[in-house]
Amino acid sequence: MLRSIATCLVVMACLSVAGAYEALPPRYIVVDLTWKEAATGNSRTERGQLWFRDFPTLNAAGKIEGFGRPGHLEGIRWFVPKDPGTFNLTRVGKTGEGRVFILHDCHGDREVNFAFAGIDVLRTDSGSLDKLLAKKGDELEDQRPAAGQKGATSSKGKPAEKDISGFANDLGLTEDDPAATAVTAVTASEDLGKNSVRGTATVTLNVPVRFATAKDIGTNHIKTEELEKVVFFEASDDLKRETYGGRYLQYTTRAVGDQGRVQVAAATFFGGAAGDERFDYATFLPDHSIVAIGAFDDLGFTTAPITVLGSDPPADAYPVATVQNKGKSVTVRPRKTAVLVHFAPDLKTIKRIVRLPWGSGLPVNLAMSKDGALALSISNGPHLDAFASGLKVVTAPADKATPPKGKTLPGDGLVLRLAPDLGKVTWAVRIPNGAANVCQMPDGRLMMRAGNNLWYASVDGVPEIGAQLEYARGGMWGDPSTGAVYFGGSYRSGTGLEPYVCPYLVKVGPDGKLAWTAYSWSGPIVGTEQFRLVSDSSITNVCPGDDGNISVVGWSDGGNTVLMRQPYDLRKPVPGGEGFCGSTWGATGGLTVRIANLIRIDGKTMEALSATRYISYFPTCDVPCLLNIYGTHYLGTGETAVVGGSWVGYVESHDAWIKSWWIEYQTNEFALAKGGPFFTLFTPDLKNVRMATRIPGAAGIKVTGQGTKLLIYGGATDLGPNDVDRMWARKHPTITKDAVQPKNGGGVDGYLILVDTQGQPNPPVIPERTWGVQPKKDK
Amino acid sequence: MRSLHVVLLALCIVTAPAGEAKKKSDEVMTKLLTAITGTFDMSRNPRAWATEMIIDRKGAKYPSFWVGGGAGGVIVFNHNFDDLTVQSAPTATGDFTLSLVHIAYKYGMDDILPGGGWMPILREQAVAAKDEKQAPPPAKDAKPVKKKIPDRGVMFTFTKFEKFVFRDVRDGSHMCKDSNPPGAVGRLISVDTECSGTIHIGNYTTPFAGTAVLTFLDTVPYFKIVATIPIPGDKLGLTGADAAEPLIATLQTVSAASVKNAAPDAGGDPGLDLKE
Repeated sequence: MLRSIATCLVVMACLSVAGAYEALPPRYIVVDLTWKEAATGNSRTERGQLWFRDFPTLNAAGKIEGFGRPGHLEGIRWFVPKDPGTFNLTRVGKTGEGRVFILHDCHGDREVNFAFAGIDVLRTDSGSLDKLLAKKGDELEDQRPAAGQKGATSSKGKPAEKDISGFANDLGLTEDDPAATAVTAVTASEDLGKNSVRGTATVTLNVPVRFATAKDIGTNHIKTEELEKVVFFEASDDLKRETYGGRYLQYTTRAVGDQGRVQVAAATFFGGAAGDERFDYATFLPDHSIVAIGAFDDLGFTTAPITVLGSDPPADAYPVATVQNKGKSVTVRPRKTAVLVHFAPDLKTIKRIVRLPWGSGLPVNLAMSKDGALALSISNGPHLDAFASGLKVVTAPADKATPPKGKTLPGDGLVLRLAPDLGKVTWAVRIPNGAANVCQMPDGRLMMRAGNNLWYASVDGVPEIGAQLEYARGGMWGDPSTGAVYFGGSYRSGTGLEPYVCPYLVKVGPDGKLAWTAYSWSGPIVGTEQFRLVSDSSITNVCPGDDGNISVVGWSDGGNTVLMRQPYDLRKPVPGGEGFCGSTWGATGGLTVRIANLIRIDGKTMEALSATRYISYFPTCDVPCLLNIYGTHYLGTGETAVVGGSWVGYVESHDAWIKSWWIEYQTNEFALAKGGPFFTLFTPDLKNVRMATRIPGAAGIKVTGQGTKLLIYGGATDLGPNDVDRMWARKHPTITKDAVQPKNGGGVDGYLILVDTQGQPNPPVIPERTWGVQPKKDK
Repeated sequence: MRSLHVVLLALCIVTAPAGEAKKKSDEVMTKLLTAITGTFDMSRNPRAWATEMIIDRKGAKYPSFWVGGGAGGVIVFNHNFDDLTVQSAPTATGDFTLSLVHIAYKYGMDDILPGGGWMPILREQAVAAKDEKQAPPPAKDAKPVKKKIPDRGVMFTFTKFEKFVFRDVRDGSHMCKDSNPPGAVGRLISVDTECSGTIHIGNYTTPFAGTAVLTFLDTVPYFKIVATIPIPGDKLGLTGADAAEPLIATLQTVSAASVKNAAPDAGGDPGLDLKE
């Protein structure tokens, strides 16, 4: 049914705004659900609201495009449970709002008749407006396929027909599937001005509907065979376009930014035609120059000088291959190797490129000594042994490892200490059975960790075996100033009680001994009557600061998370909690599947000093939306920089690097909110932002910094002016400035943005509002 | 209870003739006593992990968090007419055991967390319980063995509740969110008591004496207990700071529903209404 409804909506949206880029259906439609009650055998009908989880949209090619899954429907929010004791469809519903009916699993086929009209559709592509206005009424009829042609239907004389096989294909249906045909009728289309159109359509689909209710153990629910009918009504009798408001507008109004002082100093691509090239690590060297490290198998696209730290294999060795993995063809590029690109401090030129021989291994981790010598950890590539044979390598001592049942041990990794000028390998340590994470210790030693094993390499590269870690799962983050290492992540609490995903954060001291464990409460502990902090949560990032404190990032799937309590005592809330975009009321399981939590913790005592949540807001219904933080950096000024990805409703500052929603809003009441990759620089108190901007085209970005400079690194695709990005970050080219490589070489390329957080003021030009009431200006 | 009685009496004296006030006060007390009566089988847990405990050590930053459940026993709350005071007073007979078997384990903090020294015992018991679970079932003709309360975790056996003092009455609901039937709302009646019993873990057993707040729902016979109990760590195998500094355990559990006892006075609606 999910697919059918999505199809229906998309068809309708397409007909109403043919050629439009963006269509926004209503938040919900009204349905009558009829089923046979098992206890009485009587038919029963209840009216509810079917809420949308993902909003189906069309791209320029007329293909369905949504957030995550196309056109996925959230469920029916049940407002009038006449007899709550009879059945319970609740999964994520709130007592005050009624019940929520989740359409999850798929069982059985049912016939569903859609009959809803007056769906409000927004569009913003002014270029297509004329085409749309031309396609009214009879003209649409003319486009119907002739009988017998693909897309024709036996629709019992419906007034208009439209071939939606393209959409059906997008939804994974075959041409023979009944869902591949549909009957639609467009009865009106109206230009509302301001690049917006309202389309009115009646859609009838005769499709197989897959339908099941959420399993709620211990309560009654409608079984598949009991379901008789689902009738969908129009969105509302007096349908009006929904305007923006709520917290999205409130926070946007507040986010004036900092007069454009936080600026892009330079931004560049780095990559060729290969599809997936990106920088995995980047750092500033003591002389403020920049080293970015990624995996590449061809550097023919650059003319910069290249140094190879060893002997390359023959040109025909390790060719590109296509392998089958779980039924899918995957392109494997075994020649990929770790490549270090050394940029000038202004990012405008490449000083040199240093790479390992092709096929040596992929970069795994990076650390830097005080004098700027990098330690690079690589994984086992096909050419690793040959590469290592040309180096002075000491193998780290380890017990004879036995592989887990049914598995083979991973190949050895290598840790390379490079000279400060990157020109040679000073020493190398071979890590048995796996690649190592590395952390620079304050006394000059290098800590290396693979699995539960710790080693310490002396300044001269002599490895000593360290402590066996009791607890070394998850990500690892080292603190070079103290030598402490943090492990964070989550585990699943198999106790049948929420939360199922429980976070942990473990500190290992410089001596290799466990210092403390934060959080690590299992489901029974936090799911008790007293606390009920039932949101799944996880630690995803730790950024040690120079002051001994650490910035911790974690996600949760709701506001009731242990991350907002002291890591050692559930009874004590963390100071703060609601900084900029930190309000979580109204969060639902459908839209608010990820809330980012940002916590500042005393590294010695695990006392949480301050915290905030960070989310986006769906702008019409004022519901918190998904936002993930991928990387964070804590500046010496107390400011916190984060990069991540957001669903629709990311709050931009007025001085964002690309035209902010606030500026568009002044001249278009219906300007669409956006999401996608973003960069935010919080003020020290986390109560506001100096910069909050989308980064169109970016992928897998992280952030690091030095002084007042920040470096955003990762990958990016090239968005042209008419290309469509995911997450509504549309029609803006990928940001480049004074670029070494201004054009994308193909697919995802390496991508760097150098950010100056203390630039000269460059305030945005905010136009006068051209609609409605003029906003009051601050005195 | 006496203090509440005095307040009620004083109110009644101000607002009504003496005889009428006395009658009204007695009626209120009867309703209170009725509301808190019941027979509760504490082996029936209303939800998984129905019991929770937090142990704080004086001067220490880090508490330890535990969960478990009712392990067995039956407690009956009722009331007797006291000839001396010429009033009815609550009583508690029977005993019950709460077993705390699961601790929020913090790696590397055995020596820091209060009660962390019990971890080896808990681990041994967990292994033994697993072995027992995997043991072959008894033969069909084997003599039935009386089911004993399994020796698991930190076990608090409450044997005595006394000195009941009614604390307050307020509107409430959802004493146990996961198990209350729909409509289980009413008035929550809180009673302060002094409690005593024994604490047992592994080979160690020692008596305890603490305080407890019992809260009853007047419409459905549930009760909730929040007990504050000092733990003599040195007598329970703990060493170091856990033996030198006082440990305070805060226990909380919810009973399963029970059958209400009869009202002390004949007939009458057991529902509580103090508004009049």
